[in-house]
Amino acid sequence: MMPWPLLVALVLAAFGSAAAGSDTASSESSAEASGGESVLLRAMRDELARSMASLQLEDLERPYFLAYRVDEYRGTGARASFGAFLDRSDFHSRGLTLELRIGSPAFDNTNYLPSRTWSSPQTRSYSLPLADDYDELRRSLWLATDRAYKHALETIARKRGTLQSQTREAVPDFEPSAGEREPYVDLSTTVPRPLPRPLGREALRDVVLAGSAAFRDLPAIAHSQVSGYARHAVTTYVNSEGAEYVTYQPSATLDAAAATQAADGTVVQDSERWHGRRWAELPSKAELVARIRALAQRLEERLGASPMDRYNGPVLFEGQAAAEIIAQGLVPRLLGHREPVAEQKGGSAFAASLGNPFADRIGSRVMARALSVVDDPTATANAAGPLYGGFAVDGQGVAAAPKALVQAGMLKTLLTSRNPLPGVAGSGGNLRGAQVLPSNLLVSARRGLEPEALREELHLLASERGNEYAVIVRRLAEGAFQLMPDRSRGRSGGGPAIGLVLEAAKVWPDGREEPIRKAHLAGFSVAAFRDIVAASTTASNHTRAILSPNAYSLRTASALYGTSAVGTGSVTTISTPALLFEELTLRKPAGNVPRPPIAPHPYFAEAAD
Amino acid sequence: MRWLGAGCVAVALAGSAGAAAERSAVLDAMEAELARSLEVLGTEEVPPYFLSYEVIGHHHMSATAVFGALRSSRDFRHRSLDVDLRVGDYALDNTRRVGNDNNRWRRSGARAIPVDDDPYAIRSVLWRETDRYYKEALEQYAKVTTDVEVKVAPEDAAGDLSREAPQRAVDPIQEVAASLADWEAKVQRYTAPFASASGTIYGARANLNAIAETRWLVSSEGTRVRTGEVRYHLSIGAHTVAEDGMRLPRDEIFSSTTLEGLPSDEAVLATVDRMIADLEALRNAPVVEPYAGPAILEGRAAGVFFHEVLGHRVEGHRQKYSDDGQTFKKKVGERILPAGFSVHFDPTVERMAATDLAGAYRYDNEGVAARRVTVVEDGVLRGFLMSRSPIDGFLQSNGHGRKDAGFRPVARQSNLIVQVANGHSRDELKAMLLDAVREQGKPFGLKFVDIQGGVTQTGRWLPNAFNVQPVMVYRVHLDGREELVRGVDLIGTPLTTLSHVVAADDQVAVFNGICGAESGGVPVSAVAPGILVTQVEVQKKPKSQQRPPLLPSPVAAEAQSS
Repeated sequence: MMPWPLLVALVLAAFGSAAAGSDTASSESSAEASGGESVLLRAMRDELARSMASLQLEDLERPYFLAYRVDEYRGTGARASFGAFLDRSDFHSRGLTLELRIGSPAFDNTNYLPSRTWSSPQTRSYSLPLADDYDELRRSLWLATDRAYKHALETIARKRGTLQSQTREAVPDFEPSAGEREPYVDLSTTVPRPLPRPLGREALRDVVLAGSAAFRDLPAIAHSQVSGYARHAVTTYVNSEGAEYVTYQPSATLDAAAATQAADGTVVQDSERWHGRRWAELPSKAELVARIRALAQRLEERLGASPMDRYNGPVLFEGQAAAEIIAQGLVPRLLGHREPVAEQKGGSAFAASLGNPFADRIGSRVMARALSVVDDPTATANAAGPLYGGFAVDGQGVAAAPKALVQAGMLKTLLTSRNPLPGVAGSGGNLRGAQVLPSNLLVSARRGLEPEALREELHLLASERGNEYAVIVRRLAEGAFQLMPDRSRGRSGGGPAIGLVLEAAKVWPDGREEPIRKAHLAGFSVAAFRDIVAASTTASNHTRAILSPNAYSLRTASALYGTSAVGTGSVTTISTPALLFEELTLRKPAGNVPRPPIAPHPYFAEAAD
Repeated sequence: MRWLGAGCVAVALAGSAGAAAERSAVLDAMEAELARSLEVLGTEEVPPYFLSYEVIGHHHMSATAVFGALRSSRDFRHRSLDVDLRVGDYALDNTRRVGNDNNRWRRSGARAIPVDDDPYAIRSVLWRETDRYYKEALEQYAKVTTDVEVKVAPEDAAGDLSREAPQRAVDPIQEVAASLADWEAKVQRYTAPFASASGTIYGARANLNAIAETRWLVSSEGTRVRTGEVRYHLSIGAHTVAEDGMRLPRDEIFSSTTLEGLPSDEAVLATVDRMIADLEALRNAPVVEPYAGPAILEGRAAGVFFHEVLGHRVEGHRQKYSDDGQTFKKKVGERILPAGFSVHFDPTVERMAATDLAGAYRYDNEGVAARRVTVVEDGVLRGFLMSRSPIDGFLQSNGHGRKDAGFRPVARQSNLIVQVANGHSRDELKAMLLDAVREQGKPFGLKFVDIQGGVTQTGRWLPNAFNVQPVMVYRVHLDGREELVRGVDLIGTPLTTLSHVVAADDQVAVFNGICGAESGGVPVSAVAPGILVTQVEVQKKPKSQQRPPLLPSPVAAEAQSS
C-alpha cells in the first residue's frame, strides 16, 4: 500500500485564520427598529432586479428564478464541566443563501448530481458584511450571483449531456409560482436594531456554571457537561417572483449531559435538553440542579440494573421515547426529497439515497388506523405545551400551512420543497434552510387509552405471548449524543437506525418495575408503525434538532435546489401520545465493553474526603 | 562570516530560575494528577515509563473586514490538553510505527480543558484522558512488540524517546493588549481603498489578529514549564482576475510581538496603495511560458525557497523510516551549498531586519529548551533539527519538537536564518544574473520578488520535488529592463537546485508564515538574503477557466471608473 504522501506547506497570511471560534461584532451602523425598508432589503432587491434584467453570458440562458435569503444570527453561549467553563462564545454572523435557476421550470439546472470530480465553484456559503453598508452588500450579492450563474450554466450543460445517455421522468424541476397564490410579502416584523446580545454573561454563570457544579455532589457520575445558548435569528428574503419577508426568531437551549460506567465497564449516559424562545423560559438554576440530580439518579438506577439479554413482545414507548421513535423511525420517510439525475455511476447510489420509498406509498397504510400525523408550522402551542418548530414562511417563499401527512393510518402526502415529486401533489412549504424538514409534527390517536388502561393492554399482549413481563421504554438516544466513548451499538437489520434505549423497565402485572441497564431495538422496521395497537389519550411534546437522514451537505443542497448553503439550527417539536407496539425485539447492545477507569475520580477520591 | 542586514536580539534564556518560583494553579493541578496517575498506574502489570501533559491556552482576538465593511470580530478563550503516555522503555515503546501504519502522525485528539483555573475541574479532564491514553497505549504496545518480533531490524536503530534533562520555568502569562473596537475600525479603514479602486478587484480582506498563547507542560521526568507569548498579525489580501481567467492574488502580512510593532496606519495604507497598483499591473502583465534558466530570488522568496528545499529535509524524523526521502541523511559532512553559505535554525532570536520573527520560542512542545542549531556551516551539512525522536547519530533533541494543539510533536523548523559571507550588492547580483543569461544563451532571466508560499514532497512514493508560489515575478532582459509577468510557479528537486545556488546579495528579508505539516500548523520564519540560482525551472500555474464577473460592479464609484 502506498503511504500517505507527505506534503508540507508554508503559507503567508494564515495566522489564526483557520482557528475555530466564535464571532462577535461591536459596531453596528443601523438603528432601525423593524424589518421594513432596511438597507439590507434594498440592496437585495436592487441586485436581484439587476441580475434578472441583465445577467447573461453571450446568448446563453438567463436566470428565470433567483432568490436571496440572508440569515443573521447573534448569539451567546457557554459550555461548562465540573464547575468550570470550558469556553464561552459570542457570535454574530450574516450568511447568504442563494437559489438561482436557469432554463425553465420544466427543465432547469437543479435535481442533478454532478460528478464528485467536478470542482464546483457553487457549493460554498457566503458571508455578508455585518453593518448595513449598501454598497458592500451589493458587491457581495453581485459576486455571489455571478458565481452562481456561471455554475448554473455549467450544471445545466452537464445535465443535458448526462441525459443524452439516460432517461428521466417527465416531471418538472420546479413549481414556478407556488400555485395560484400571490407572492408572500410580510415586512411587518419588528426586529430590535442593533441586534442585541441575547444573554448576559451573568446568566450563563448563574445557570450553566452552577448546573455543572452540581455534579460535584454526585460521585456516581464520572463525566458531565452543561451548556447553554441563546440567539436571535433574523431572516430576510427576496425572490424574483416578488416574495419578500423578514422573520425574527429568538431561541434558547440548555443541555445537561452525564455519563459513567458500571463495574463491568458498561457505559451509561444520558442527557436532557430544554428549549425556549427566550432564556427566561428555561429552567432556573434551582430547577436545573434538581433536574440534574434526577438525571444522575436515573443513571445510578441503571448502573444497578441487570443487562437485557433478549426480549420479544409488546413495548410501550412513553414521553421522549415515543417522540424519538417517531423522529428516528418515521420522520426520515416523511421527507420528500427527490432522487436527482446522477452524472456518473458512482453517484447514482448517493442520488438514490436522496429518494424516498414512501413516495410510492401515497394512499397506502403506513401506520395503525387510529393514528394521524399533521405537520403544522403555524401552531405555537397545544394542550401539552409550547411548540417550537413553527415558522411563517418556508425557505422558498411559500407561506406556512398545516399539512396532513397521515390520516387514519393512510399516507396522504410528504413534506416537500418546490421541486415537484412524482406522484406527490402540492409541492412546497417545507424547505427549512436547504433541507425539507418537519416543523411541529403532531401525532394524534383516535380512541386513546387512559394510563391504567394502556398498562392493562400492555400486560394483556404480554400474557397472550406467555411473557412474564412487558417492557416500557422511556428514553431513546438521539443518535449523535455521546459524552463518553461507547463502542456498544445496536443493529437495526437494515431498517432505520434507532438510537440505543437509554431508559427502560421491565414491568410486571402487579405494577412492579425493574430498570433495564441498556438495550437496543433489533430489526426495527418502519412497518412496525402499522402494528401500533394502542396509544394514550394525552400527548407530550419534545423538541429536538432534526437533520435529514441523508448525508446532507452543501453538495446535496446545490444538487437539489441550486442553492449555495444549508440552513442551521432548525428544531422540530414532536407531539405524540404514548405508543404501544404489538411486538418488538430488544437486545443487549453488541460491541466491546471498555474497562472501567483504573484510578478513581480525583475529586471524589481527595477533595470530598 | 558576518550577519547581513540588521542585527538580531537573542531571547534571554537565563533568568528562569527566579521565575520558577512563581505559582501556577494549572501546573500544580497537572503535577498533582500526574503524580497520582503514576502512582496508580505504576501498580499495573505494564506501567507507563513516561507521562506528560501539555495544556495550550489561547486568548484569540481578531477583526476582519472586506472592502471596508466589517465581516466578523471575535474575542475568544480556549484551552486544550494533549497527553503523551508511553509504556515500554526509551528504546522501544508504544509510539513505534507498526508496519505501514501511517498513524504515527495522526492527531492525538486534543481535549477541551477548562479555561478557569479550577484544580479539580482540570484534573477531572486529566484523569479521564490519562485513563484513555493508558488503555490505548497498552493496546498499541502489544502490536509493537509483535511487529518487532516478526519484522527485520529497522534501518535506523535509534530508540523511540531521547533522554533529556528536566526543565523548570514559570514565565509570566502574556495578555492581548488591544481594543477590539479599535481593530474593527482599522481593518475597515485598511480595506476601504480597495472599494474605491477600479472595479476589477474582486476580493479584498484585512484581518487583525492577536493570539496570546500560554503553554503549561509537566512530565514524569520532572519538567515543569509555563511559557507565555503574544503575537499580533495584520494580513491584507486582495485579488483580481485576468481576462483569461487567471486569479491573481496579492498578500501582505505584518507580524509583531507587540502592538506597537505593527506598522502605522499611514504605512499600511501606503502598502494598500502599492497592492492596488500591483494588482492592476498583474492583470495586464503577460503570461510567461515554462522556462529553465538563471534567476534571482529576492530575500523573502529566497527564505521560502530554503524553507521548502532545505528546511523540511533536515527535519530529523524524516531520516528515520524507509519510506522517507532521506535526502540528506548520508550527507553530513558533505558540501551541499557554496562556501560562505551557512544556515541556522534559531528559535532564541526574536527579531531580525527590523521584524519580529514568528518562529521564536523558549521551550518546544516537549519541554526541551530552544537552542540554535547550525545545519549548514560554510556550505557543509552539519546536522538535523531534532525532537525527542532520536535517529542514528543524533540521539538528543535540540529543542525543535513542535506541534499544534491536538497533534504529536515532530521535528519542525523555527527561525531559518541564511547567512552568507561576502554578499554582493543588488546591482552586482543583477549583473551576475545577466552574465549567466548570456552564458546560457537565454533571452532573459527571472527575478522573484515576492511570494505567497510553497509546498514540498519529502517521501519516496512521489517525486521529491518542491513548488514555490511567487506573486511578483519579473523578466530581466539583457538590456537590464525588468518586465512584470504572471502565471508561473517555481519548481524543482532539492539537490539539483541547491547545487545551482551560486551567490547572494546583502539585503536580508524576513518571511513570517504558518508551516503546515504532520504535526499541524506552527509559526515559522525564514530570513535570507537574495540569491542567484543559475538554473531554475518554472511551470505554468493552475488556472481557472472562469471569466471575470459578467456585470460591472454595482458600486456606483466603481461602475463609473471601470
